[in-house]
Amino acid sequence: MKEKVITRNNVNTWGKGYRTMVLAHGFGCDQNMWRFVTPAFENDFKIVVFDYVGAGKSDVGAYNSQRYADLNGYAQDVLDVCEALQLSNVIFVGHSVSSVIGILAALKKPNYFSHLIMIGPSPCYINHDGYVGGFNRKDIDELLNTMDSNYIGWANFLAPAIMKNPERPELSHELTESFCSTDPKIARQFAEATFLSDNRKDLGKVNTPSLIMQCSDDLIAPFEVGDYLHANMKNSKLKILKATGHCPHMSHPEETIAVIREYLEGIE
Amino acid sequence: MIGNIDVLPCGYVCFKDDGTITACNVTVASWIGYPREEIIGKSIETIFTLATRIFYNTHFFPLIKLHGKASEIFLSIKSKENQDVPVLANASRTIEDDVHLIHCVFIRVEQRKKFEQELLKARRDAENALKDNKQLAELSKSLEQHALELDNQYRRQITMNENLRQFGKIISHDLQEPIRKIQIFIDMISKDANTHLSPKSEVYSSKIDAAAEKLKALTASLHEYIAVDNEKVFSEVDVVTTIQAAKSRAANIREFSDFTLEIDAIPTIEGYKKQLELLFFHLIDNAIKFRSPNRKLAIKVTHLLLHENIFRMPNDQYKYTEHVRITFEDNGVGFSDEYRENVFLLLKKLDNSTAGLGIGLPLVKKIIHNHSGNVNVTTEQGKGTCFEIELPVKVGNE
Repeated sequence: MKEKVITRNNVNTWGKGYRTMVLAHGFGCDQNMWRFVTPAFENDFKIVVFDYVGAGKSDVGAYNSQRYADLNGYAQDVLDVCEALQLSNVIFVGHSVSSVIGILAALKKPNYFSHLIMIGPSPCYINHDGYVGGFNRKDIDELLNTMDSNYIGWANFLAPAIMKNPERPELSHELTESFCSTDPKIARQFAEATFLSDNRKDLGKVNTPSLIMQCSDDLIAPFEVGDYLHANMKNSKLKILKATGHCPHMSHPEETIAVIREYLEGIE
Repeated sequence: MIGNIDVLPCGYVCFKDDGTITACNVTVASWIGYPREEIIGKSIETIFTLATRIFYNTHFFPLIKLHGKASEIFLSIKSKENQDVPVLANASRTIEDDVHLIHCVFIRVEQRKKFEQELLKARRDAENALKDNKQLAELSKSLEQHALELDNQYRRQITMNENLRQFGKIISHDLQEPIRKIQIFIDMISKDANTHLSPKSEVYSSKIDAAAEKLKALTASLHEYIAVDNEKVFSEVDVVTTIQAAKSRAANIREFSDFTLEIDAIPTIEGYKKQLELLFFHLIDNAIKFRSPNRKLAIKVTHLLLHENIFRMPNDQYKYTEHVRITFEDNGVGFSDEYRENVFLLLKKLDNSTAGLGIGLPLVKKIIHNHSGNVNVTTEQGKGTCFEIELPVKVGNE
């Protein structure tokens, strides 16, 4: 089981320190997105990064469309990784949808996690009566269309079949080069699982202390969403970043590192 | 020296990692419908449609940042009149005077877009048809296989049930009879004025009587353990009321009511009403039996709603449905962690000097399994015991 999970989720660990930091990528990317921030923590923490099944260099053959139609299925990936590495008291850093995935995992196994650090989190992307998520259903359908258009070109060289073609190294080389690429069908299902999710009811159940990192001018997680999370999660801290956009750990790594570090120093 | 970007037959925009536009040509400005001066300094996101902005944040930007370039990406630029301008984008990231710049060229692809849309639609239709076909074929194959397996299991189940029924009958009737007789005759021996039992034999005879008494209790418990499966119909069960009923029963039987029981607002679930009452009866009974002499017994029952996989067998079936995790905590004597695996085993008592027959917790586990649930126990010697019970809120399809 252990070995299986390590390969299945392409788990990578390094760094020194007695505490563990697990970093979980968001929708649209893979573990590579953490490479601008991990060097800042690898001397003080054991770093664990992984790809969700279906993303990056995970074992696409392990994809199960029933399981991954639900964010709970992704949360099981996080728990599987923690279990395989026998982790507890983990500092979980999740980007975007991985924040909610972290919340679901922490509800199921509170002992695995000591703190949740959430970058650009949102419990629900679609507006509801009195709740501002930022989008309506039509926007999400258009996004799915945009993704479909873009996968016309990508679908062929990213078909899952090439994962099973070790005799054609040129293909795997191409794959290494193509960061943040996912099988189109999986990406589409992940998009649906992400953007159609509503986990507002789970927020109040979380006891794990958390940091909400809210970017300025983030289309995907607007200010209202950060406030909503903060108001509904016990022991949460809200930090507004100067960074704009949805990927501060890539666009503004220095500030992202500083904010995470400040929070971690506060909890030591 | 860069030539005149304004005469290029394509749109050109240059922006920083944080999205700030540093340059653009008039071609792109004319599509957007604002003068170039108003576009420069704004965020690149402002020129895109909403869907493209999401895609930019989740895919396009990460791709350029990690890969240094991106090619043939379909995006939509938003004009002043809110019209979509479909474009094909190529981008590369350079460093100039320590500043990272992303250069992006856009080619309008209205015609191509229409063509692509039609292609996409055709592909989607074909895929769906194929998927439906494939799924149907797979479904019918797996249905047949399941039907076979079910049939097999059903037959075995019938035999097993019949065996169990016989077994239950043996326990409740046939076994009781000899036990009763042993007790009667032992009683007759001791009461018979003509027999003079030596003091030693008096002891033996009372031991025989005690053993018979225990055998009687054991068979009664075993019967309970088997008979619990007779309840076949699910109903809506109000868990809170059920726990309270179980409490009264346990307090009556144990003649002990000096304890507190706190229950939070656990929702109604679908289940076997009698079994669930029995489950909580045994948990409370257990808590009473193993209370600490040093403090008043306090039981706390709390809950948490979670989504868990309803399929329990490890065969790659997933369906996440609402489950309630009921935490049953007492402040009793607890037990040593090494026995954790043993507590649910039938007739496996941790300590032979304690009251009880070792049937309560196995029954608890069996009832939970009858509900497709799960149970976990954690304990700390001297501090208390905590049972975590996970039950589906609804058994059938939601």
